Amino acid sequence: MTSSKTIVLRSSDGATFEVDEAVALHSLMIKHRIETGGADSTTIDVPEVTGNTLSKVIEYCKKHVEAPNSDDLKSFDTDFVKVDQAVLCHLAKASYYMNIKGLLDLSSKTIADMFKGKTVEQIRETFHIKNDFTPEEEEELRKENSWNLFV
Amino acid sequence: MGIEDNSEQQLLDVFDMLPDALVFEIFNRVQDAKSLSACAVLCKRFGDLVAQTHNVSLEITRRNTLPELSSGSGSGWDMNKSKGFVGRFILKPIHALFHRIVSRRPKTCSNCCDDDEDNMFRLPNDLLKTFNEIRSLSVKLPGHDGDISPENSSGALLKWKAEFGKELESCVILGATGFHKSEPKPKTVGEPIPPVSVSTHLTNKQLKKRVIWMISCLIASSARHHMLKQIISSNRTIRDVKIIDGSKQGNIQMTEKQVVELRSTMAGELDRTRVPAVTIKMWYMPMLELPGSGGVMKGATLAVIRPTAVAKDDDVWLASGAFEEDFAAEAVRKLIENKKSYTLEMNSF
Repeated sequence: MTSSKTIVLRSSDGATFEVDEAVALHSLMIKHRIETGGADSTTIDVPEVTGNTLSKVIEYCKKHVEAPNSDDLKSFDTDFVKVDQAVLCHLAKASYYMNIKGLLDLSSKTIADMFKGKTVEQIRETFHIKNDFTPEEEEELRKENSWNLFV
Repeated sequence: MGIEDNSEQQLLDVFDMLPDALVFEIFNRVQDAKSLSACAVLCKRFGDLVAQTHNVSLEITRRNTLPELSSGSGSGWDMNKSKGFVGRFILKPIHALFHRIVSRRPKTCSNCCDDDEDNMFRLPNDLLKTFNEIRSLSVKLPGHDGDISPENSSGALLKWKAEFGKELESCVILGATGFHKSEPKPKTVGEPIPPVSVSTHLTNKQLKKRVIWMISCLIASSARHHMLKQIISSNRTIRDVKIIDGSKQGNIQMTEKQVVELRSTMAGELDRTRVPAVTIKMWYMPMLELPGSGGVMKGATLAVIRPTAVAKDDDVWLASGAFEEDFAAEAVRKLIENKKSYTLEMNSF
């Protein structure tokens, strides 16, 4: 009877997305909201996530819920994270807040791999990390780590 | 100028918007100690989070540890050499003994000896200084990478896996005087396997060689155990740890229970872990075919070493689970099928 029940998800910028309940439940955060929200919870706000990101997240959930055993799931995942850094970070953040383990694993592993084998300067450039050490602190760090990091 | 600032601002926000818990998750997936140390010096927030990372893996490369070595002695190190390299933690007398027994090129070994010893000994702890909350540590020592080197003329093979608590608990060794890989043969149904009728008797010389293999594996594993003790005494939060090497030769790991046991006995120590009196069960086949994974082993030997004081009869189970590679697992299976086995005993040293 309720097999085709749909849920509406609303992003931080007001965009709405209608999805099958089964797909929405892939997010444990949404699952919890539905279970504790009573019969009227057909629209769920997701203020931590923008519309663009939310639509990508929904795409991920759809694929994993509707075809979890398909052969191309791996290649779907690989292609899914071939996006620029900002999008990747947004995806990681969304999967964290919406509690979607598979996507969290995928996105954070992809970001983690971007750190490996890089020098300090390379990492700083890749992610544009702001340096908040004072010059004295920086000097101290360089001295402590000179033999392995700054050679 | 204004537009530039704006886009700079956007670029900077990428990691700023991630909550600490998520950055922490990411660092736990990075694991590589060197990359994480690099992150730690980028900004204060990263420094704090890296210090708390639970899962760390440390790769000690020759380039890091031995910048003064010429590449000549670095490349072309064969399997025996990498065993010697690890053995350098031990006291000088055992050191010398080890080199006499194992090293094929004693001259080059002694040249680089002293530097190595200092560097290798100091490094793991220095590299781990950044981390205060390590729970799970994996250390990878240098070895000559990849599979059994084709340049190694004898194609000799030696692999071991040891488990330690405060002392040696078990060690499984698989060795062969020759190993030639080939294509795996397709399984033909119904073909009976001919019974092994070749004599599996070992001459004294062959037996002696195998005893030497075992001693060198035991020494290498106690050396690593010693390294482990250093690490766990200065990193109080470690729960489980393993040390592997680049050539996949030796594997030593400790589970939480074993780490706890070790910690409780660690006050006032010898410079190396004593190897207790052991009982060794050994299987041998002069020629072993491996149709499943492809190849032929000459002088194939499997040894399961246990402290004599602890009587256990799950040797077969222990050996079967010791090695991951297909060819090794197949060799172990076939060697054990051989009903005849040797039993040896060795005093502690």
